[in-house]
This record gives sequence, structure tokens and C-alpha cells, in this order.
Amino acid sequence: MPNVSDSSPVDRGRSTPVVRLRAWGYLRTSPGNGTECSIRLSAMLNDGREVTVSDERGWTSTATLETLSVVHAVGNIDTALLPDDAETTAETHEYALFAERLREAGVITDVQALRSVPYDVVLVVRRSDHHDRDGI
Amino acid sequence: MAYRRSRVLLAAVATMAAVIASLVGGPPAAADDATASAAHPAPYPYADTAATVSRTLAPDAAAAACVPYVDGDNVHVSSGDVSGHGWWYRNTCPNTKTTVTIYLYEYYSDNTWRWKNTGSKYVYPGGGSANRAAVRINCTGVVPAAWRTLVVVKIGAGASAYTKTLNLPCRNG
Repeated sequence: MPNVSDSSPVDRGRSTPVVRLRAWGYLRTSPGNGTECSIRLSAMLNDGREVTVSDERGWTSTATLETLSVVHAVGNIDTALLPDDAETTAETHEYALFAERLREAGVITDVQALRSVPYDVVLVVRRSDHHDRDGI
Repeated sequence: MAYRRSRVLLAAVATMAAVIASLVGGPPAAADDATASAAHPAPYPYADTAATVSRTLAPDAAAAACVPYVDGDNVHVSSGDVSGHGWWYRNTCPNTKTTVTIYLYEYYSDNTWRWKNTGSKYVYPGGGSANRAAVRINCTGVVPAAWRTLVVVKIGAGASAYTKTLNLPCRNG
């Protein structure tokens, strides 16, 4: 970490604006028949590359994958990504940590810039039966 | 909570989840006494795959009693502590406040889970910064050990769930 999605080197010191933050939520049935989700938060760069800035977070729910709503899944991702001190800071993401990890990858940015970019969530349902599904 | 989400995409990817699930073993019994023996904190051999979900619906609970969904995040290291959070979703329950309690456990080399700390909060369903219970304890070392939480929601028939077991560079023993 951080992990750049393609093999091209990142030019250290070059200003590479972040155009979007994207949370990838990988859903699957947990061993207890609830749902578990691993989250990877990526910074999408204006040259098309993607830098992973967080992959430590995730959540577990007693809701089954069949009963879990999109609102529930996305809400859980947002809650799991909150900083520990969000109750006092009202910050929705660990922007300072993300900026630090981006700088380690040679992407020059700061907290203010990261706060201003769009944020979206992509849900990926991982099924054991190898059948894709359209929704949850 | 204000979101700047422009869209939510849903994709589907087939995986080897069944294979992973088949490798998961049952969790060891929890130990109530955190002071006995010379056992020390230890990594858990089935970490990352051993999420265990349980429901504590009482046998005599009336069908009319609501059953909430129990949610908790993966334990994580933050500012020198290991921490976790628990919250709930309505499912069949009313949109009212209830108590969410979260217990933090560390795994020891004698194959026991030992209670380390408890957090509790009276919250609405749905999660978010204002509606989650938190628990944390300081890391006294960075040698890896396994952690998980148990989240208990009181409303209706009540429900509980263990969160995913993770080996983290933190120990408190």
C-alpha cells in the first residue's frame, strides 16, 4: 500500500490531481450465512490510473446476501470508512491518511482537495455458485 | 450524513467463496479470565476467513417480536489502539433507539478468546457517526495477534454477531 493499478511508474513529484474517490465493496456470504464485505478505497487519477489508499476496512452483518438492500450495504460501507473520531470531527473519510498514502505514491494532493472530489461506491457480489447476479 | 456519491454501481463477480468457507474452522471458546495462565496473545490460524454470525433469538420469543440486523466493522488499528464499531439496521424492528453493546476480544496462544473492553451506546438504526457504539484498547506491542468483536443489539428478540477475525500488528496482553 499504496498500490497503483497499472504497471506504469508514477512520476514522483508530479502533480496528479485526484478526480474521484471510489469505494469498492466486495460482498459475499459469511461462514455464518450473514454477509461480509471487504472495502477497497481508491483514488481515481485524471490520467486514468487508480491508487488504492485503504484496504483495511470492512464489515459483517447478520443480514443475508439475499435480504441485504443496496442502501444497507452502502450505508455500512460509509459507516465502516468513518474515522474513529468522526463523532467529534464530522469528517466522513480519513482524508489526511489518504493524502499521505497518495504522496507516498507520488501523487501530490492534500486534504482540502480530497474533500472536494466526488465519491461513489461500487458493490461487487461474490457468489460461490459462479452465477452473476444483477442486484441484492 | 451528507454523501457526495454520484452513483452506485453493482457488479457481480464469481469467486471461490465456497472453497474459502470450507477451510474455515470453528472459533475457540472464549475465556472469561484474562489473567490466568502464561498464555500470550497470538495470531489466529483462520484469520480473515472466520467471520462468525450468530443469532440469539430466544426460544420463546413471540413471532411478533422484531429481529434486528446486527452490523459491525472489521477491527482495525487506529492511533495506537485497536478499535471496532457496532450498529444495527431495522429489518422488522421500529425506527427507534436501542442499546448496542460491543465487546472486544483478543486471541491467546492457549486457544482462547479473552475479553478486553466493552463499549455501549443508545442509538437509532442505520449506522453513521452518531449511531454506532465504539470499543477500543491500546496496543502495548506490534507483534501480530488476532482480534474480533461481538456486537449485541437489544431491541425486540435481540441479536448478536461476531465480526471477522483479523490478525493485526497489535497486542494488548
